[in-house]
Amino acid sequence: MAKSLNERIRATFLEEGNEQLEALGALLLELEAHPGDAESIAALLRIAHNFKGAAGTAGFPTLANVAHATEEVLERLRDAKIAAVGGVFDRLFATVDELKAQLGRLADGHEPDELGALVNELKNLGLGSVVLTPVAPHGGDVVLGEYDLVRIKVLRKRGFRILRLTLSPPHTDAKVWKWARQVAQKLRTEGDVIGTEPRETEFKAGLKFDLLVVVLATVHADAELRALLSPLGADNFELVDLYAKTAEASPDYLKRPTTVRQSLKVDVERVDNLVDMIGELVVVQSMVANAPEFGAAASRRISNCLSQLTRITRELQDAGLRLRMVPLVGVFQHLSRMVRDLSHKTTKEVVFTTSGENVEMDRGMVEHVVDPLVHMLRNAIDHGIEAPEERQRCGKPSAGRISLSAYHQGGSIVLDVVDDGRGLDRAKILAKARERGLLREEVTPSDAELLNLVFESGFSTATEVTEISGRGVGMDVVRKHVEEMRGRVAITSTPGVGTTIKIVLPLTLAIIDGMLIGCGSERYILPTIAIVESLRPAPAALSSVAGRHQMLSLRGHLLPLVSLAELFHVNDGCNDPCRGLVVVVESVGRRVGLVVDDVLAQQQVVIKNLGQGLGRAPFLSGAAILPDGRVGLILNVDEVAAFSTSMSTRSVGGRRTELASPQGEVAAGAPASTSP
Amino acid sequence: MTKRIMLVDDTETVLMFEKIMLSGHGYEVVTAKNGADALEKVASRPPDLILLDIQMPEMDGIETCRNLKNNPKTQTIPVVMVTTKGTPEKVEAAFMAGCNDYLTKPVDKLEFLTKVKSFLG
Repeated sequence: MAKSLNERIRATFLEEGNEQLEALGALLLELEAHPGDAESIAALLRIAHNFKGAAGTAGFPTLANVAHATEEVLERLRDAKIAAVGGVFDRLFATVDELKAQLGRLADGHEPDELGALVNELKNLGLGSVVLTPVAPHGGDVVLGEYDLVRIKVLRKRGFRILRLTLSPPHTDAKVWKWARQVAQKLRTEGDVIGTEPRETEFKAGLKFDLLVVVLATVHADAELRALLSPLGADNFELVDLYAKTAEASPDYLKRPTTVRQSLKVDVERVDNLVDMIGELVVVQSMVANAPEFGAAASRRISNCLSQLTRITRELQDAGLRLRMVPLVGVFQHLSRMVRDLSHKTTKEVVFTTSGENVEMDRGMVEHVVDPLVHMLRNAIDHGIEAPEERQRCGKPSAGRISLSAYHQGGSIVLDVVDDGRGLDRAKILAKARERGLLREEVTPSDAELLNLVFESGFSTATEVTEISGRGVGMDVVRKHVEEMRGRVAITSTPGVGTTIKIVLPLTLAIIDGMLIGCGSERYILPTIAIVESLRPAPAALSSVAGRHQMLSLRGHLLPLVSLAELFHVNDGCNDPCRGLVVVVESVGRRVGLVVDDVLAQQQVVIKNLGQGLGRAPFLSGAAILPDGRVGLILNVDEVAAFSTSMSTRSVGGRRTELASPQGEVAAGAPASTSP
Repeated sequence: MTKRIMLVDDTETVLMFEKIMLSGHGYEVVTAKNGADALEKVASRPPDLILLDIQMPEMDGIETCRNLKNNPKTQTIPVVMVTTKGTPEKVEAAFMAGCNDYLTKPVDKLEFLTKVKSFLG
């Protein structure tokens, strides 16, 4: 996690670069098979260009230079300044191989080699002479000069076909050179002979060859050429149109080149199965590593083996999780399109920017993240961004800006949607909340609580229902989806300046970073992401409300305390915060202190569902198998926090204030005992 | 019948060199100092092949070639451009003007003769 930005960019480049080089190799093969194929060249150019950009960004100018020179060669190919023939391809393939080798060096922690010679070679590639590889097995090569290629270009513009004829001489006696000269002269009457092999200058006594190769520009059909040459006994030749597109359909991946990637399609179920088994392996490995038998009698060899096992298991776990990761680029593209269409519909002008398209996310989460983002962006366009005239009155540029960015922060993925619109109208939210009965008159919520009201179900401040965002579904859907992914959502807004909605999601749905919490004989897992701090308070910092609900005064703020032992009816658990520990957790802007016995360890755990029997148990989000083989329950911090807040608000207000939430039912009912 | 070759170049040395290369091969060689001169001479006695320098003052080889190829009386006469290593754009322009082939300076004797023979047999 502690990778610097630079390291991350490099790692991304290594991965992306290798993919790009693979794609370049595949496209080169394609182009060689179908010379002059405009789509292949366009795709090659784009990928080479992207590689150049990536290499430059990652801080490898030498690789960027090679890519630039490659791009130039491809441009010359595209513009038919050089012919798409053997020698050029050999060099291009070699260049791709060289770049691959350089990426290998980078991966091993070396810097790239000095590649000036390669760059120069590429710069001159095809400009001196180009070697045509003949189709025939024994023939020599037709050597074309730079100007021959210019000539070919001009002739092609005039509708000439550029053909390569490979002819077998009818005899191989000493006069065969005369036959070759006759062939060349005959062909010249019906077209332009651009080059021959053997060369015409060699057409003299003593010349011996098995095959005559002629590059010819002509407007004549193949049959006419055969008729022309048949008196010379040369009508049995092999003919290749050097710039023809073959009749065969080009493979699908060439038609949509943005998807050119080296990949293997695997059934999702198989991947999930593998990841599950890796999860089990992690548990068993950790049980073995923690077994007291080893601790006592471990020889040096065994402990070495164990640490190696631990390392490999971790790597395997990472690799397994990566299998399920996909970049967000697809989602972002979809959203960009949506924003574009929507802004056209509303006559609002919106400049939409995205960043972090390459951030990868668990496949299962990508599907769930689309709906919330769609809602948030719709809201931003519909309610956030003002009409152009209104914006101009406020001294803002008439086009609103909305940005969507994804990035890693700690062990989480953060998605930010930022707009520079009018911001949330707090008075309106308050009025609406009271009108809808979401908030009683006498309660004055904090600013964060007020803003969070927009996530309540049935809440919408848009005065009229619009086609775009007012369909009765709102920000509550956003929160529901995000919470299902064990994520959090927070909103900040400055009137007249804009609104920022931040979604924080775990890296994967399968594993969480947790703190192992002891409560009596029970073990619970608290997601590390939610923990703010832990402390053992002095008795003076505690106060009791209505003789029951304890509050902790922490740096001037009153913090409601929840005893885990009480919550889950653990008889031997500690209820006294001064003897145990208070773990301060945060959820959607609310802070709560959890009273526990002890914080035992930090633990990565594989999340298991609670199973059909328990279903959605209150305050719990899942279970995990602990290193000692026991089952630990994973706390749902959001539910615990909502519960304690509602309890304390109720007590403080003296009567029930409905800060209703999806957890309302839970808060109202007595928590069931779910300890194992 | 003796084939007539016209060499067009503004450099005396080049004309001399080309003449020497062609001597003893049974061709009749005429020379012109520039494009206008060449067009005039072609009009009076059309040659069987024209070797045309690109870089010439006043009317350059490209324009001369264009003139020759646009004139129905002269357009069938093969024109071989003789160029110093110029830009590809220049060469492209020459081909666009309708020249039939090209030779690069410094001219290789064998290549020169082969090319001439390929047009004149």
